[in-house]
Amino acid sequence: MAYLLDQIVNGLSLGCIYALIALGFAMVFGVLRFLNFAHSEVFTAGSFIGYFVLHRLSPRLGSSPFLLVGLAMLAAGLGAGALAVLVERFAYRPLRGYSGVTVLLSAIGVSILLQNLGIHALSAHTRGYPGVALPITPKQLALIILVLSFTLLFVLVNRTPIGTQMKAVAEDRRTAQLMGIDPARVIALVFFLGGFFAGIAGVVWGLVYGAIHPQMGFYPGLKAFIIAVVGSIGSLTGTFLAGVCLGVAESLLSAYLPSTLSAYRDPIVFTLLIAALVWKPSGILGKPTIVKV
Amino acid sequence: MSFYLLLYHLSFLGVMLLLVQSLNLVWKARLFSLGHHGFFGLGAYTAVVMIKLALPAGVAAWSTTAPSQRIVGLGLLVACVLAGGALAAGVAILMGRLFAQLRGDYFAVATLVFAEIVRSIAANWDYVGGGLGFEVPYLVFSKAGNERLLYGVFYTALLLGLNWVAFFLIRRIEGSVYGLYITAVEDDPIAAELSGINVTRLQNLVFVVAAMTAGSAGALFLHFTTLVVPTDFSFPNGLLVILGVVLGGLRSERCIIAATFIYTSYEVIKVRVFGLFGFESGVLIADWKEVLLGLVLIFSVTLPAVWHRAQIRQAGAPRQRRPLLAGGGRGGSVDAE
Repeated sequence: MAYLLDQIVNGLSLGCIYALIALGFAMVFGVLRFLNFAHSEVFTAGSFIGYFVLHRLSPRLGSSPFLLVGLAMLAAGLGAGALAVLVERFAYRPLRGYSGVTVLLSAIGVSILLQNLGIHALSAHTRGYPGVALPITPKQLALIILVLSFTLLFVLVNRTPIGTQMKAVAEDRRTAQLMGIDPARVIALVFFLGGFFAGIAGVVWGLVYGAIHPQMGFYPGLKAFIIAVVGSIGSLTGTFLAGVCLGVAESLLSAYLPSTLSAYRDPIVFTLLIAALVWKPSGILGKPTIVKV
Repeated sequence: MSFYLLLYHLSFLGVMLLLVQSLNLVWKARLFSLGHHGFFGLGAYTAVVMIKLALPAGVAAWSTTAPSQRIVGLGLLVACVLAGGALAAGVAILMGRLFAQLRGDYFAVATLVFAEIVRSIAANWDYVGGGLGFEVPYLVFSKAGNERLLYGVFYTALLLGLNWVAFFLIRRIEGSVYGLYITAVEDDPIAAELSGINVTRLQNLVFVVAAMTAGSAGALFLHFTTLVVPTDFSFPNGLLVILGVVLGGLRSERCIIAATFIYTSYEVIKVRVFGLFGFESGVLIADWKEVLLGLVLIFSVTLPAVWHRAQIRQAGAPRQRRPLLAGGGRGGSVDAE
């Protein structure tokens, strides 16, 4: 029983990371209707920024671990957010108004480019993440971070003028423009926020799993995108639920699969994800939409 | 470059062309598949399983010295290619059923995940060699000694011949009523549906035919290189095929020329340019290949858009606004409206 509980806690922390990444996908998809493939690389970049900050500051700030982790997360969030805004400016903005698939191609190019620049700059091998002597376990930290981020985002979207602007642009960009909203600014903000949470997720990933490498973003990114879809695009609660469900399912699978099948965990998870995508393309909380001609 | 090396590269080009041509057809039917390399891998690994079943004594016991064995080998090769194509087609039929309601980005992700499933099963299945890949014997001609040239001619003829057949078939399809259907779907799926075309059925048909082509190409590729590893059909390699379609101008026939261009320039840079600086050919370019790939993909999509806007501004016409939330219709393609 204790083992089962352990596995559920593992799954919850993994699900938190997935949900944090999925937020960025969902926000960008909600506003621009395209799959921001480079988001997984933003996540990786955040993880590496956190790695370097922790390395630099841990000799000096070793006595106050919360401040240390907080600073690392802030730096990672800001850096990853800035990267996301840059990517938007140079790879997506020229394609404003083109179909999602065209922008998706550009995003795939950015993803491959960033991943391999990372390999050249940082080498492809896996690095150990610096450990921090926190009074709580990294998995508990992941849960706390997730709850904080969701509260922050919830307040931002539902209680502030900027959140209203975001919702307006997501609903109808042209009408929002007529109301005096500058869509370019709102879109840049959406990218920044998505990148910010992905960067924090990167640090949490490093702290929980203890190892990072430049290509680590691909799988979490793919899974997070499907979470964003299954959790119904634009619904914070749905994203939260779907992420946590996948995390728990994945960790239960790796715990209870017979040893002959345990190597196939990823194919099984992906098959489940495709099944979810096929079963509920409008999301667990969404209603089927009618496409108007 | 020796004559043999030229043949070898031509055969590679043949594989690439088969993949690009078939993917182009799929994109034309407005199915934006990102997982075409998955069918390629599926075909290659079907052939591996066939070889394991056909030669239970182990691959080392096989040799091509006796003429009778060459005929058996040829039969085995044909069987592998057919099985690879058939399995890929079967899976594509299933996927067509399942993914019928997924469109655009969702379909793209679903197919990409499918390819990743194929790759990660192959990488973990010990029966077919796991991550190290699987080596099959030379079935018809061996690459040793005098037979090397024969081997090169055989595969070049086979692959380019198949390409010729594929090209001919595509031409025939385009001339037929199905070609008109595909063009109608390409222009506007909703209008096509309203004119009585069963869009989903047409898309499924195209998808299955293309998957079959890719699957057979995979099986052939295995017997040509005699080695397949799961990374052969990882996502960056799949992107090379997509790049062929994109550089050709999204869903245009020029993809064939584009693929040829990518492939040959890649080989020339690898051998000639880096050879000049004394690098071991292939070592350096293999490192930077993906970086180049990413840059080319970004620029091949964004530059036409930037150029198009600059042209409009220069002509003094009022800046045209494209539909802001484009999704369907003609606004969706990169080529100028």
